[in-house]
Parts: sequence; C-alpha cells; structure tokens
Amino acid sequence: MPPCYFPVMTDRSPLYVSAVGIVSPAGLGAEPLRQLHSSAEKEMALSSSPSRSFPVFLVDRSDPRWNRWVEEPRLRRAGGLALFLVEAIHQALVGLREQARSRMGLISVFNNGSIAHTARFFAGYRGQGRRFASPLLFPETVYNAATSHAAAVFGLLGPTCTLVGDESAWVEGIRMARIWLELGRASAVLVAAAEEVTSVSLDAFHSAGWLRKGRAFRPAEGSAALLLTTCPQDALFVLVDAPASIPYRNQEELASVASRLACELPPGVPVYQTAEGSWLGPLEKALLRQMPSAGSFPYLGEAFAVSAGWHTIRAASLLSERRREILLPLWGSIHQISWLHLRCLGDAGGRRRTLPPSRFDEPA
Amino acid sequence: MQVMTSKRGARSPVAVTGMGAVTALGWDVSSSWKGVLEGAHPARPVDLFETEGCRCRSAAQAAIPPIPSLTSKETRRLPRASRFAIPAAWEALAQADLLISNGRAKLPHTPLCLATTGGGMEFGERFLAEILAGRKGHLRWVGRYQPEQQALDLQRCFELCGHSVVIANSCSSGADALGYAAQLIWSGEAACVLAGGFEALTETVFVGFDSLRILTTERCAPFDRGRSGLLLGEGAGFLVLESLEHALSRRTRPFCLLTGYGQATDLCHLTQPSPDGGALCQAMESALAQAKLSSEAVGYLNAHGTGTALNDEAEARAYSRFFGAGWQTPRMSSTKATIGHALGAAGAIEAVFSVLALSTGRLPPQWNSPDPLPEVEQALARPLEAPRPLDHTMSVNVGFGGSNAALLFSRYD
Repeated sequence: MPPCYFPVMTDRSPLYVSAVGIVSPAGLGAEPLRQLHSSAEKEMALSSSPSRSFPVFLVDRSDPRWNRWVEEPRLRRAGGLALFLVEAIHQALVGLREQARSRMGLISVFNNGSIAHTARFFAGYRGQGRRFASPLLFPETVYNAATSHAAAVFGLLGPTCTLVGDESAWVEGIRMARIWLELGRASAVLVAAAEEVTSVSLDAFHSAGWLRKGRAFRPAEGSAALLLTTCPQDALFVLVDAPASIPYRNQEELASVASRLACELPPGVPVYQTAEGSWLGPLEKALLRQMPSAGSFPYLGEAFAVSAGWHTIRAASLLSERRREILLPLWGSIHQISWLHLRCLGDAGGRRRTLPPSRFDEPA
Repeated sequence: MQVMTSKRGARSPVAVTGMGAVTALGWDVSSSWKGVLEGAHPARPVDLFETEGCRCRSAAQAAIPPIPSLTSKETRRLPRASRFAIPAAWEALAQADLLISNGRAKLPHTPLCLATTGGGMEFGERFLAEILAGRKGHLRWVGRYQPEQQALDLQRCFELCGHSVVIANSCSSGADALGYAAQLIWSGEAACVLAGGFEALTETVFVGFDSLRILTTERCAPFDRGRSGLLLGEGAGFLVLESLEHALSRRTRPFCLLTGYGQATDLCHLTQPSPDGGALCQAMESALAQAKLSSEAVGYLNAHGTGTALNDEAEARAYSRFFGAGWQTPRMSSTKATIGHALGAAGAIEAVFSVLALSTGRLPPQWNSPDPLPEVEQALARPLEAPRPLDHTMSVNVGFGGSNAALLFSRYD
C-alpha cells in the first residue's frame, strides 16, 4: 500500500461551535454527559436468542421531555433514531431566531441507520407475505428519512445531506459543513449524528464478534448535534482543524495508519483519549502515552459518529484558560480514522466561555 | 446567486476527465449510451430473489460484469453493489488515464465520494433471515453489507488510500456525490476525486416499492399521461472530477466542465414531492446561478422522470414554471425509460448521459411516452431528433426525504 498522509487544512477558516445538543444514556443535554454514572448500563437480549443478553448503554425513554414529540405529525411513524436526532437538534436550536433557519444546512450521520424499521419491514413481508408488506413502514427504512423529518420539524431551508459511516464520518460531516459555509451554501450548518440500539443490531454486533468475552465493546445509543458557523460571536469553542480521514483495511493497516496519526498530531497539545474502554483503547494508549493528557470521562459505550459527537462535547468542556487547546483522535471502528483540534474561546473580558448548561439543559 | 468564494482564492473550474457505467443495457458507457439512444427495453422478470406475491415482478436487472483484477474467490465475496461499482470505477479511471498497468490507481490519495441507498443490502437480508430463524448471523453477511464496505472494496481494488464519504440522500444521492466532489475541488480540499453511485436490486427495496404501488407492470413511460409507475433498475456510474488545472497539468483533455451544483430540500412529505416543485426549481436555480447562466442557456435536461403519477406531475409543473409555459428548450427526456430507476446510482449514471449529450450533441429520446403531459409536451426529445450543438446540459434528481439536486455541465473548448 502506498504511503498515506493527513492533508491538514490549517489555512482554513475556523469553525465556531455556537450550540450543542446531546441525547445519551446519561440523559438529555450536555451536563449529564459530564457526570455519567455506571447505572446507564443495561442488559439487552439478542433477537435471535432471547435467553442471551449483553450489556448495552440505552437512552432513558421514560424521561417526560420525550413527550414534546408525541404530537409532531412528521414523527408519528418515526423510531428512536429520528427522535434522538430531532431532540439533539432541538437542544442546539433553543433560543435561536426563526429566521436563522432559512439558510441553515443539516448534515446527519448514521452508521446502522434505521435498522429497527428495516428489520420490522423485513420480518413483516417474510412472515405475512410480500403482498402484505407495509407501505407505511418502508419509507422509514431509508437512510435519509430521519434527516428529512428533522429538516421538516424545524423548517430548515438550507441544504441537507445524510452520511453513512463510523466515527470518522463525524469528522467528514464537519468538513462538509465547513465547505458549505466557505462556499456560501449555508449561513450555519447543523452536524448531527444518531444511533439506536435494538435487539437486531445487538445480534449484528454479536455475529461480528464484537461482543466476545474479553472485548470491551458495549453498544450505545443516542445522538449529538453541533451548530457550526463562521462567526465567533457567542460561540462556545472553535474547531481549528478537521483533517481528511484515512482508511484502513485491516488491523495491521490500522496500527500503521494510527502510528502515523500519532506522529502528525501537533506536539505539546493535550490529547483527550477517546478509545478508552473500547477495543481500540490499548492501541491509543500505546501510541499517545508520550503526549500530555487532557483527562477523560467514564466510558459511555460506543455509538459510532454519535460517540465522536459526545467526545467532542466532553473534550470541549475540558477547555480552560490553562488548557486552551485539545486534540481529539477519532478512531473509526470500521474503516477510517481522523482527529479534531479544539480551541478555547475567550470572551471580551478574557474569560473562558464555558458550555452553559442553561443553553441546552432544559428543565424537565 | 450563491457566493462561491473560498479562503483559498478563486475557485478552480471542475473538469470531467473520465466516466464509467454499468447498467442493465451493458457493462460500459458506450453500450449503455447505445441502448439509451436506440430505446432498448431492459425489463425482465427478476430472478435474483423470489417475487411471489408482488404486484410487479420485473425490473431492469443488470448482468454482472467480470472483474479481471480479482480472483473468482475474491469476487464471490463481494456484494452485488461492489460488483457493479468496481467495473464502473475502473472504466472511469482508465478513461482518465489514472490507472497503471496492474490496475492500481495512479493517484492513490484520490478521495472517494460515493452514493447508494442500499449498499450491500442483500447481505443484510441474509443476516436478518438467519436471526429470524433463531440462528446466529454469519459474520460475512453482517460484516459486508454496510455502505462503507463498498468504499473499502474500491480502495482495496485500486489501492486507494484517500478518505471516503458515503452519501445516502435516497434517489438524489448520485448527483449529490458528484456535487460534493465538485465542492471539494472548488474549495481547494482536493484536486481530483473519484465520485459515483452504485445500487443493486434487493428484495427489501423491491418489495418496498411494490408495497407503495408505484412499480409498473407495463413499460416505464415517464411524463406520459398513461404512465403507470417506475421500473426499478440497478448498476453504477462513476466520474473522475479534477480541477481544470490538475487535468491540464496531466495533459488530459476534459470531456466538459461541471459548472454548477444546486441542492434543495422539499419539506412537504417523506415520499411525495410538493405539487408546486418549489425545491426542484430552487436546486436548478442555484446550479445556474453558480455558473452565472440563465435557464435559456441549457440545451438538454436529463429529468428525474420516474414514471410515477405524483413525481412526474410535480416535476413537469416545476419545469413549466422554471422554463416557461410551452417551453421547447431545453430539450428534455428521462432515460429511466431505458435503464430503469437505479436509485442511489441514478444521479451518477444520468450525469454520464448528460455529459455524452453535451459532447456528442445527440439527445437521448423520450421513449414510451406517446401522449405526454401538456407541461412538457413541446420539450420532450423525440426519437430521430437531429443532433444539435449544445453548450450546457443539466441533470436533475429528486428523492425520498425531499432531496432535490441539479448538476450543470458546460462545454470545454
């Protein structure tokens, strides 16, 4: 394989994160994400073998704040994936003027997509016959259905796009947003990711060998959203860099590409370790042991691009006057790796801007 | 008008330097183009999976091309989608003079912009069937059905090590992948991109469209008053897009330039287009504004034209509104009458036809539509219509979820 490199776009205009939204097993909003307790871990049974169960991290759907979507006509047939996406976007848009949505773009990122609807549709026509396949269920199986629902619910009139991929797709979504902003395609762009764990996806992880004893992988569900602009006013933090992802085709290549990534990270900048607890954890630890650590949070399971979103927001909460920059390696679990470079924003008085809970942690 | 300035200065023109296609009409661009011009009828009974119980039982099913660079064992492991994608990408790279003799890409860091709606869904179906039966799913089925696997298949085959993006905007995905590839070049993030879409017929998608009662059991007749639905198709389309400077530095003569890309979202309904076609007009307007052109400049329009009642009516209304009542130019057709609707690959395959129309002056005729809708009656390209010089062509796609995309191609002289 020819040598790869990370084309670093340091001459790009920085991206300002002006709002965030989070749905996680720890709760709704960013604050619970920073105070996770291990009680978020639950047991889920396999679809193929209900007597066998595995630990997963699930969103608490009994939270009364979910009721706000019950009457939404576009969501009447939507599943967890669309609900998680819509809720994260809702949090990111709280307090924003309606007019701001007229040129706001939306980039959604999924890995498994609406596997719940696909499995139901498949079981339906296989069980009852193709003639009785559900025409109501089928459109919800399409990857961009949740994106479409979110754009409609919030009246987003800018461009929309749905990306499919692992953790690296989060970075690719951010790069796409930057291009849209630079080319004038949108005045602000929401990058949002969602993932839902079902007994069928659990079966998929089980079949892939990801749930084997000794492997740290725990499936997780939820969503994350960032509102990106080119305007520093009122921004929470800055994404200084989001380089192109680099693919790997097997574990051997991953090790070599990952070492190159470790070499190319700007020296001296603290690193927020994102793979702790996952199967990539030991590799990350070995590669980054010489670099200063930015700290870490308890393991929250793995939800592909959603995890990347959670890590971004968790890392941003560690920015401070003394720690003005943080690097965030994002180890894609399937095919690509990348990283983000976060920087703290000072306000007029030189004080660090924090992620204010009131901005997105609405009361129940 | 979209402002198209970049921090890196003036945006570079985007050149099309290679094209590849696999459709039900053939394994390369020339055989597919020949079938489109001659009005081939690709519909045949589907034999990939059981269709018992479906109202419609035919589709534009493609034959699988050989992949000489892979062993038969390697080929058998690939999902059907990859078996279309690799030959189409091969043709595009070879045409752009970007392959070295052993089949590897000359520019290994070339990024991939890919589009699909189903990826390797047939593997997903086998996995679902296994777990429904209470068995553990086989690693092969679960490990190779997701769309990023087709990106890896392409990277393995051509030894590419650039980044990849997989876009899943339903039926406009192919056009959006090309549009985003152009944006990567306009913004200075890439000099050369391999972009395209691929789609394989699968039972779930076939049964799904059948459940919506929008598959035709007759000939697919886009924009005809008597149209009765769409014909599902499959295949792949790939284009090599480069900055003009990059193409010329390699002494490669471009087929044409990609000068505009517009995208808009219809918020009306998950599966039905807004009756006024507002988002479609917005996408076309945006593409033209980017190229600083008016609608009169477009000589040929490759319409989405699925042959369904709702889509074609909304689309015809949008064109009439955009190009003016009784419009005659651009000449227009939907090539889905001859290749079927290849969903995530449609936008890329139809972009290939739009480029060919531009470079040859030959207009793909509108087949199977003897009694057209009044809004498009004067504009439909007819069989035996004389070739004409064209300066600009447009390819338009509309998809579930309200995705609308328009690509504008311009002559390079």
